[in-house]
Amino acid sequence: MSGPPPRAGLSRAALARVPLPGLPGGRREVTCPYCFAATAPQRIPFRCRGRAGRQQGCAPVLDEELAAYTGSTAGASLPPVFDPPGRRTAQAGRADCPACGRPTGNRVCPRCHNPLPPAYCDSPGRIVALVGAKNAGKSTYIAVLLHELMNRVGTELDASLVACDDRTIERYKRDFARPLLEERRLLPTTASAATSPREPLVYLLTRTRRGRFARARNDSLALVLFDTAGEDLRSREVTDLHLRYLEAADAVIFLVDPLELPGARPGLRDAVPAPRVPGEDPDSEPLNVIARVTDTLRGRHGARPGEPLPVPVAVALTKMDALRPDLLRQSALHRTRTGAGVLDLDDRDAVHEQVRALLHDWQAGQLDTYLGQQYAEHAFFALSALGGVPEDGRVGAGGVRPHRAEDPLLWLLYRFGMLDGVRPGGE
Amino acid sequence: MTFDEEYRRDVLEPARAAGDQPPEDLRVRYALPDPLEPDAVTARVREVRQCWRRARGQLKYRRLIDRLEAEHRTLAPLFAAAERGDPRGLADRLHGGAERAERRRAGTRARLVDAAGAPRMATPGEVAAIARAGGMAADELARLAAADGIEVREPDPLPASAPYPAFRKVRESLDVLGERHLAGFLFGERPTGPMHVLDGFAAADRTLRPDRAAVAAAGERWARRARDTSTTHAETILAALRSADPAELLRYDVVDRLRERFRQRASDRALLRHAAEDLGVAAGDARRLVFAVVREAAPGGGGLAGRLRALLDAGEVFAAAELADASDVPAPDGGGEQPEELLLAAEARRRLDTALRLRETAAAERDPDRAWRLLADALKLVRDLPGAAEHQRRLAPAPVPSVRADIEYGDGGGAVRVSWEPSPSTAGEVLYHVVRRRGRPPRGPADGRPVQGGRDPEPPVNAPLYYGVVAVRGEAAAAPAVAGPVVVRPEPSGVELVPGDGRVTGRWRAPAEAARVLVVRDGTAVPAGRDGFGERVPNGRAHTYRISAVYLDEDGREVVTPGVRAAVTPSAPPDPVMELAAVPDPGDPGLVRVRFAPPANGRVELVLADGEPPWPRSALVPLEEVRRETRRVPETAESAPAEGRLAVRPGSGGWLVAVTVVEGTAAIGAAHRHVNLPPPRRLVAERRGGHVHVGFDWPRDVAEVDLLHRVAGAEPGHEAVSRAAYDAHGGIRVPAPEDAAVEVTLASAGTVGGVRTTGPPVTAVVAARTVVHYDVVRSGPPWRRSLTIRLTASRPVRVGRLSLVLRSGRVMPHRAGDGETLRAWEQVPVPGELSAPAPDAAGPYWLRCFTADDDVELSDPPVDRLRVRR
Repeated sequence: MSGPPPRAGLSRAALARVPLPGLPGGRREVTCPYCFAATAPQRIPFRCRGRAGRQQGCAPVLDEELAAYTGSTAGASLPPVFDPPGRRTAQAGRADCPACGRPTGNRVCPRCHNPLPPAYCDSPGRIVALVGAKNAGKSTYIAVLLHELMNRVGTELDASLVACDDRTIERYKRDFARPLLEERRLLPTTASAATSPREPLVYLLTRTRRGRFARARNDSLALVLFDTAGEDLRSREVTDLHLRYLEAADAVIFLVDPLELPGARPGLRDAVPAPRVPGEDPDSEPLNVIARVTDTLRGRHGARPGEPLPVPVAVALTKMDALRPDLLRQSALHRTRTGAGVLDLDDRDAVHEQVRALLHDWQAGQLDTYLGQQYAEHAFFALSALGGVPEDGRVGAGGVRPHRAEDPLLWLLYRFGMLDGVRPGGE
Repeated sequence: MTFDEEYRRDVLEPARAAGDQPPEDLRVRYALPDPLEPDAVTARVREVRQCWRRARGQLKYRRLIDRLEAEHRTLAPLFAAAERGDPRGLADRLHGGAERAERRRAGTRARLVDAAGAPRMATPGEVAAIARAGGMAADELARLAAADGIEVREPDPLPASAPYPAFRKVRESLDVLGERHLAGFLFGERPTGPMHVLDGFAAADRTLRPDRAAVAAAGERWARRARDTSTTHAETILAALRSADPAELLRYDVVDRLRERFRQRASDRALLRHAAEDLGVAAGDARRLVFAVVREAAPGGGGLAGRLRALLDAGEVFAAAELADASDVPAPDGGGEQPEELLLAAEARRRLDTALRLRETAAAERDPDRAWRLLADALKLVRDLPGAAEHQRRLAPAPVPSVRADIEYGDGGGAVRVSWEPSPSTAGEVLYHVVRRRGRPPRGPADGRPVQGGRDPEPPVNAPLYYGVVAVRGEAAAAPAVAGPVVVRPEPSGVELVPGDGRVTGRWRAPAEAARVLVVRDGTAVPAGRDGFGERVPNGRAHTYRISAVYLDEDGREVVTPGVRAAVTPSAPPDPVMELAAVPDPGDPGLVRVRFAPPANGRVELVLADGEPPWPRSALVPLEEVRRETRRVPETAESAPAEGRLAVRPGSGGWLVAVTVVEGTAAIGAAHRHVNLPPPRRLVAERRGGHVHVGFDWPRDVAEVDLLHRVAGAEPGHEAVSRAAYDAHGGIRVPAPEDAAVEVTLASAGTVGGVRTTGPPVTAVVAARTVVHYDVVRSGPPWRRSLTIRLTASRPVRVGRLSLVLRSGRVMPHRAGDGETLRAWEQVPVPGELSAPAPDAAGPYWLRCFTADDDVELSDPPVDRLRVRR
């Protein structure tokens, strides 16, 4: 990792604790995870709770802002939205509806009227953007990462992952979980945002932490995942037009398909199908895609030339199962992550350096150099979402068996102060 | 007013008036009800056709009805479809009726325009004929003609013969003098303009009159000229003018010139032009002249010859001969060119003579076939030969030589099929009428019930029947050929014998006419009722029954039919299997061994049901019901059902039911819940550091597997893994040190009868890895720094070759070749320490150890120990 996190106050004990790294930037505004409009917390409107049972309440009306966002009036008939009556009520997170007088704690985005969870309003969430060229495995990675966070990794971290709206629940089930995890079919190439409107999947990851003396505390992270079609990142216009969310991103996970790197070809297993001819489509080369994203981020942060961006970038090599086993000898990549509920920084460093070495070995060291110049922090990962090479459009033997899929997110949690880092080997 | 009268008034009469043209609108033609109900349509069509048949008796309707019937044949499929409930074709046709009528009207109108030709005139007769042919009223067509600018009138009578006998000479003289016509000669060079020749001669110049004065003036004109040959010709013409009416002569001259052109096949248009331009006739007169000239020679016209020709052409030779006689046309004298009517009359008389001779011969002929042919020849010559057609219709054909009547017994009784050889008569169309008569042979085609198509589907039962076949030609019928008597005596129908335990019961339906039913078993009569019987018989033997119907003939004697035969074997009912023990074969997964106490009666087989068996135990069920609800599981060769042993491979999960089968009955026995536990497929076990990651494909129907893992040096672990847990955790992770071999065994698990059972196991082994950890420690004063490499492992090993590699820059060496080998050691014992002087290199650089041994894997220390920043 370039620019390692500050390590003041580390003990020399075998289990070294690393303090929480600072948050990038000092924004107080809440960014809507749906339309990415930023609003001051005290100005976030409320939505009346409406009628419930025999209690009085406002009748549902057509919410035109929400209907415009979803593109359909279905499900947009909801109790009315009203502005916060005063600064104090807004800070208390509750307000009385001016029409019916019932108290409500439901907050919505002032622009698109999508619901903003209270935890998200209280601790302005981190928006994690997922970026990758076409065929880098973004959809598959989203499906597997969410599944891991809901199950194995969630249990390990003592964290819950909750969808923030019904549309996210339905889309995850329909477009990701059912085909890939239940029916074990590979996901089809995602349609471009230009041709089919899409919404982000918005989750709230809440982690309960107990300090030695402090009482239990909940930390939340808004995980906003856009299943961006690879094409959307390939031309500058489309990126600018449709992927506003990149601008709002507090962290970026960048997926790189090693099969797209010409130098990696000798390192692949024999069973892996040949990738496309290198150079056939320069738009989809990882360096070009990440350069575009970088431009977008620089514009938003107003960074001067030469000044590194404060956004942490996790660069993950996907499809590690396609690499020859002997390539991973004497390496942490084929081992499971060590440590439970913490980030093993020794393991983290080892993986980072080994992926860096692999990239240089594959004549893709440019990527490392570019990231080092443009970003204050970047980290390399290697993962396999499926755990095996697919066969005939279906998941291979044994189904979905992810390997190190959660690593980039754990690192970001650590960066955001929601996860402790340890060094079993001592400092 | 009856339907017939109404129909004749509303439909037939107007159609006849329109030239026997059937009404185009089928709604009118068939007096169809609205809306089109299939039953009502069928009934109405039948009623209308009956009316047709009755109306045909009247001569005036005959042609119309024949046309109606002919067209009905083409329409019959539409009505048949409507009767079946598909009125679309009929509705389409009805819809198109008005359109067709309109099209026909347009066609008729065009036909009239053609007939009127260039003069645009037609005779009333032509209009009527065309209207009749087109199915229109003549008045209506006349109105249409007027609209088209066609004048309907009789042709003007034109002089048939010259008013001056030597007119030929006059024409020749006119031609010699170069006069275009007689009027030109008479009035000289003075411009005459268009002249009127019909309704009295008139010229544009009213002073010109064809009178004596004009003739005298012409004579004076010629008298002034010097005499020459022209004068002689002028004298000839003047002589004619003086001796006959000059106006008549002038008109005849024009008509004759037009007739001459017409004979030379000039067209209407050419004639009109000739009259108007060459002869200077006024336009209206020219049209009338041409019209009259053309109609003179038209068929039907032309006086006696024309009428004779028309009659002869129509085949009415007798009428032609009569006309000739009535007109006193003499026989031709055989010299020179004869007038047409003479020739025609002669031909008519000749043909009539021949026909009369043929008729006389036929009258004397005894062979009806030959007489029929003679009359046919006579009628071919003279269609209206009196008495010939009637005589021909009365000539009966030869009778049918032989007839057979065969009884066909079917499900619902008997039918009689009548077959015969055709009549030897070959002349004319011979039809056959089949009739049935009870008690005595039929005497003619009307004596008895008609039988359509030679098959009598419902003949009277138990009665002597005679079938007669009558050959019919025209109105004459031959003597009937008779088959019979035949007596239809059906057998009992729906015979069903049901075996029981020591008992047989029978059921059937006896024919209503039968006196009783006789049941005979193996030659012995069995007491039986009219509809069934029941008797006790020994089990296990086949018994043959014959069930016959008994009828009483006319004399009251019993007649027994041959009977229906059926064999049946009664047997004791199957005993159910009360208890069943089923265990999977330990050595052969998928094979289930079943044991039971063999039942006293019946054969035991195993069937597999998807759910719990729908019948209670000990129930007796028809075997076909068991076959429908379950799948029979074939027994393997090791089975011995008689000894209470069966071995089967069910292939899938469900309920194994023992059923005891006797004949068509099955006794439901004990059932066993069979759980199909195929082994997990495509087992994958991969080492991932301190874990072994296990994956496999779940067999269908299996929700749990038993996992047994043996890690070298540790107690074997055992756990049950549910499918849900597997999916949630993305496979199974078995903790195991890297330097220990691991054997993973998996088997599908399920609960059978409250006992947990596992299927055949599958095993995968992950080999141990020898992991050697190393650390790099710097020591010593700055001017003599040295590196110490500490090697540790879980057990003592020896590393064949160990090298320390330095790579300059910020990138970690990935393999030994990535940098400079500082030092290499052979056969290094582990645990142990190695020393080397610190490299004299400027940072940043990396140090890393590598080994060439395949069976040893080095484990790096934290990267900060290997990386040198400065």
